[in-house]
Parts: sequence; C-alpha cells; structure tokens
Amino acid sequence: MNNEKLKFVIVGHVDHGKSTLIGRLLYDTNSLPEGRLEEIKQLCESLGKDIEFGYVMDHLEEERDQGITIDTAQTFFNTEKRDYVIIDAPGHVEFVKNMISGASQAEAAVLIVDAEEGIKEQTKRHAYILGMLGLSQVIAVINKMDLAGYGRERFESVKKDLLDFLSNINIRPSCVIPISAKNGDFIAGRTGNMDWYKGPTLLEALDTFRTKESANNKPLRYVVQDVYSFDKRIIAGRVESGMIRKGDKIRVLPSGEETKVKSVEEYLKNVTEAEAGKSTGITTEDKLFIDRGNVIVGLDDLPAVTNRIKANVFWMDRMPFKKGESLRFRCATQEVNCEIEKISRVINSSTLELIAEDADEIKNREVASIIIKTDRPVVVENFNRMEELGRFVLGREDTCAGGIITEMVC
Amino acid sequence: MSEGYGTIKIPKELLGKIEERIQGTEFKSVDEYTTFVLEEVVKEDGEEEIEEVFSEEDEKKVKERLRALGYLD
Amino acid sequence: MLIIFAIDALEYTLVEEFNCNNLKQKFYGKTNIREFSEPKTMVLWSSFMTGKNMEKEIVAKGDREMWNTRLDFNDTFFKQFKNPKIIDLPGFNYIKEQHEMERKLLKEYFDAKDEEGKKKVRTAYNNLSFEHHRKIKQEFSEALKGDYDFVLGYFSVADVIGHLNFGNRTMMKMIYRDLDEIAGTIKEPYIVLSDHGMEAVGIFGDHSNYGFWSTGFKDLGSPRITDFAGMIKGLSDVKL
Repeated sequence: MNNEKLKFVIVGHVDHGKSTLIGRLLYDTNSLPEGRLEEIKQLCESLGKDIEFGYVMDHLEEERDQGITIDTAQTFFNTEKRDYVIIDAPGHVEFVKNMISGASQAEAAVLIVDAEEGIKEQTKRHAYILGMLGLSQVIAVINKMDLAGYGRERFESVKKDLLDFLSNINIRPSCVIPISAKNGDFIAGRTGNMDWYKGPTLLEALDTFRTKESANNKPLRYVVQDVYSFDKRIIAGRVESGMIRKGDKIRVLPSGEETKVKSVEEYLKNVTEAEAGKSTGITTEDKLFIDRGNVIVGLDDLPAVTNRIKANVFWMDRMPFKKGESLRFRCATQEVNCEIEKISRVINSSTLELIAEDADEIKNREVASIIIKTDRPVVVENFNRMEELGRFVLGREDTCAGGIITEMVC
Repeated sequence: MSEGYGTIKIPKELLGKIEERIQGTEFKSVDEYTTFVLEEVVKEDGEEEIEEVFSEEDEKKVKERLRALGYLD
Repeated sequence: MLIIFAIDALEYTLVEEFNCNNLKQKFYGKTNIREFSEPKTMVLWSSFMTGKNMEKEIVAKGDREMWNTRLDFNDTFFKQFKNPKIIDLPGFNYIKEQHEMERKLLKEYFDAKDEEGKKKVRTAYNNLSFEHHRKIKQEFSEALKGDYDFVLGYFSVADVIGHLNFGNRTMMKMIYRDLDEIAGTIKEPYIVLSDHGMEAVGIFGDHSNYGFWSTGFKDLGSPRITDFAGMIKGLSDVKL
C-alpha cells in the first residue's frame, strides 16, 4: 500500500451531518477505535433506536471542548490506496489559526450540505474560508438523501445552487455526490438506492485527490540564512524545496544575478547535493553580493519578486492592528518593513461571519483579506503553488499574525 | 556516578540501539535518554494510583449523598 | 391538551451544552428549590402536585416508606382536568416494583467487592433503567394521541442512569438527545420540568439544588416548584 497520507477537512453547517459522516467513514473502512462501535450500538439499542454514527466522534469533541489543540483532534482511516487524516473543521479558532500558520495543513476538503435544507449561511461561510485558506481540492456531498426520498430532482436542484455559489468564490469541486451518511449510501459503497447517480463514491473521490507533491520535485528554493567567510565564502541556508547540486546554474533573488554552485558544504562530510528540508552551505563560482534573506533559485520556474501582495492573515495579538501602522513582514529568512494598504474583508474566525469590508482595523482572532506593501521587493510564491515561500508572519516586536499569500499585485 | 544516582545494567545490544537512536536529538547521552523514558513510565504508574484513590473517595461521597436523598438505607 | 414532560434530574447546564432545542423551547430557566433542605425526588414531585411544601410530611414517613407515597387525586391540581393521564409520577402512581428494583441494584453496586462485580451490577442497573425508559416512551407517545385534556409523562432515565454514570459523557449526551427528540414529537403546548438537576461526583451523579423548566409560551422567571400547581390552573383556564 502506498504510504502517502492525505489530510483533509470536513466542513459545512453544523446540523448537516458532519459527525455522522465521519463516524460512517470510520465504520466503512473498519477504522473505529476498538469497542467504540459496540458501545454506541448498545446505547442506541438501549434507547430503542438504530445505530447513530454521529456519537462515535464524541470523545474527539470532548477533547476539542477542553481546549486541547487541533493536533490531537485528528482522525485516521485508510483505503487501499492511502492513509487519510481528518482534521477538525473550520469554525474552530485553532483550526483557522493553524491552517494559516501552516501547522495542520489540510490538503483537501469535503463540503457537506443537507439535501432537504439546502445551502445555509454556515455552508457559505465555510466554503468561503476554504478559499481563503488556500484549499483548492474540494468534494461536495449532498447528505441525508434518505430523508429526501433519494430523489434525483432535489439533488440536482441543491447541486445547482451549490455550484452557482461556489463558482462566485472560485471553488470548483471535483465532484458533487449524493449520500446518506446514516445509511451508508455512496460513502464506501453503492447500495442501489440511487441508481440514477453514476459518479464515484466519496472514498473513490478522495482517492483521486493529490497529496502534496514531494518537495524534492519542486523547483529549487534555497533560502539564505547567513554568509560566512573562513578559508572560503560559505553561503549557509536551507533548501525549502527542490535540490541543490554542485554545478547547478543558479540565480540570486531579488538581485537577479546568476552564477554556478561551486560546492555543497556539509560539516565533516563530502557531499555534492542537498535535498529539500536540509540546512547546508554552498559556495559559488562568482563572488556575488549575497545576504541573509536572499533566495537562490534555478533558472526556470521562478518565484515572484514583488513589493505588493494579496494575502489572508489571522491576527493573533491582543492589540488590534490599525491601518497606517507599520509592521515587520517575515517570509522564510526575509525580513522587511511593510504597510497594509487595504483590508478588503474581515471575518470572525469562530463564527465565520463577515465583520467588515474595506475595514480600518483587524482585531484578535479575526481573519482578514489584505493587500500588503513591503518597503523592499521580496521573493514570494502563491501559497497554493508553494507553501514554503507562500507563508509569512507579520509582527511588531513579537509575531502578531500568520498569513498565506493568495496573489501578487501589479 | 555522582551522589543521588545508582547504576543499572542493560544489554550491550540495547545500549547500541539507544546510541543510534539519540543521534541528532537533544539527548546528550544514553543516561539522559534512558532516565527520561523511565521517568515517563514510572509517572504513569503513579498517576493510576492517584486516580484510584479519587474514585474511592468519590464513591464514598456519593454513597453518603444517596443515603441522604433516601435511595440507600 | 396541556402536556407536562417531567424529566427527573434534567440538568440545566447539559440541556444547554448538548443543544437540546426542543427541551429549551422558547423560554427556559432554573427552578428555585431552596426552600427544601434536601432535593429529594418524592418531596419535590409531591410538592409540585399539591402546590404546597410537602417536605415535613413526606420525610416523616422515613426513607423506605417515603417511596410508597400515593397522594389522593383530589389533593393534586390534576383534579381541575376532565380527563387527565399521568404516567409513573413519584408520589402519585410511581411504579413500585420497577423503582424498588433500581434501588436494590444501586445498593448492590455499592456493596460489590471488586471492579468486576461493580461492572456487572452497573450493567444490570443500566439495562433495567433503559428498558423502563423504552416502555415509558411508548406509553407517552400513545397518550399524546389519546383523548386527554392533560398528559404528564414522567421520565426517570436521566436520574437513574446519572447516579452511576454521570461521568460517561457519551451516555448522558445520548440520553439528553433522546429526550430532546421525544420533546420534538410533541405537537401541543408543553412544559418541561425537572425536580432537580445533576452534578458530577467523579463518575457518579448527585442531585443539584435547582431544577429545569421550559415553555413555548411564557417566561416563568425563576419559579418555585410549588408555583406550578397554581400556574397550570391559570394556563388551563385560558385557551392556549
């Protein structure tokens, strides 16, 4: 079995069946904690009911309610293709914070909508936050089809409304699946209740999602930490992505000057290359002016060098940000001053309600879409393309906000 | 060994495995690593003991309460 | 038809925590039972029915005999209704054998010598309570379809299960959600009322010193349990 792991999140209105869906996914893939299913089954029987998968996830809810961090609130299951991790859904402040600062890094999302109720305000807000958090791989599921009589007409109607809304926020789900989490229709298997649906089950659709490309296969991004002059001039840095090899032609950004890698230096070892994630040192054929904060890249597939960026940030400081204030912008080892030119939208990270448009301030635990102007050009990437240079922090003396870059602004 | 420490024996093979394991970690010696691991194990036992005591106290308390409420004689 | 959904030990904080919207209705709050020295089930429900503080009278019978209390119909506010239906209410028509068995197993639990023994007894105790709950659910559901002008269904599951299992959050949540679902099936105006709530003592549950009330039609503030007898007379006189 392929050991790649895909982390995803399930979002949507709180009553639309998220807990039951998770319970069902675990049940259908034989991934339930030992004894848990039996316990729930017995309790349901005691109350004279059919088994309800929604209660399976209770212990996780408890952890979350007690304030245990999102890292422990993960649920694991697997298909033949790969392992999956369900990370808790947006609306929880820690999740939003961790997504933006990169800690939990969901790579995909399942958006759930109740077939009878259709799209609700919370559905929209969650979908919006998916866009803001840079999640582009999305499957939509229309749940409780059993209560809607498994009717095709109702499904198509809700599907149309959903796709119309999502297209306005640039989300294109890979598929829209009619399901009943309670009865298991189209979660793992086909039960024959909706023969008119010819598409994949949810598990089949999840299996088609891409996991993050191995960082080694991405273009070179070597972030300079320091420059040492001993007997040779060693440029110390970290390979954020790609590989750096002796003999490679390279360009130093933001200056744009070109040279070749003369050697790769590792203490007491004889190496000719370094792969993604490695901190190492290099020397260059030509003596160029290179400094901490510079980014060394290959000659193709270049990042952006810009001083105006569109981004989404999660403000984490008690002191609110007021427009006009100057902040420090830190991305990889780059550190420059910046201003926030525009605060397009501000959202409450726990209710995901829109607080303001074209605002003047961002308060603690608020998420904002902003335009940043740095006082010098920086080397950055769109977060979706490459996280390593797509993530940044803003600060005064301490870090006040984490952010992800969504667009370069001309 | 300095005061406050005892000596224990472990198989050489295990010693070698631990030496390998701690490469590149913050543990500076096999002694440090082993102490850390065993502290965790021993702590768990202690915690269990504490839990048992609480539960006995709880039972005693609730029994008294149920008596006061007329459920138990 | 006026309906009272009487739930022993329904805890205000859990109704909120578990989002039991049908139990909350439009108006909800805590009842004031501070006039009683102990939140005893028999005392509270007897006081509810008569509109008087019955503590002295009931306690005087002693802990054993107290459970056999059967108030006269004419001493209760039920007499103002033409065709009332009361199910299993303590102090009125409490099902003696069932609840005696519960108390017997409760005692056995505390007398059991080891964990294995306790587990066995608790399982039997829980099963007994859940079986009774299923029966009462059925009876209540049928009563709601009947030709009564007043129905009171008394549900003991939260109290009985709670005493030995209050720390089992999943179990308590499922019970509360089930009660909420039952409330969701009631189509006529109803009042939810508990005699007292429950608070944790480790994994066990003790009675808390306030009850729960809710209605869909009037904010009752912080009523005493003895206020309901007079209140309901007023409600039944007005067409709801």
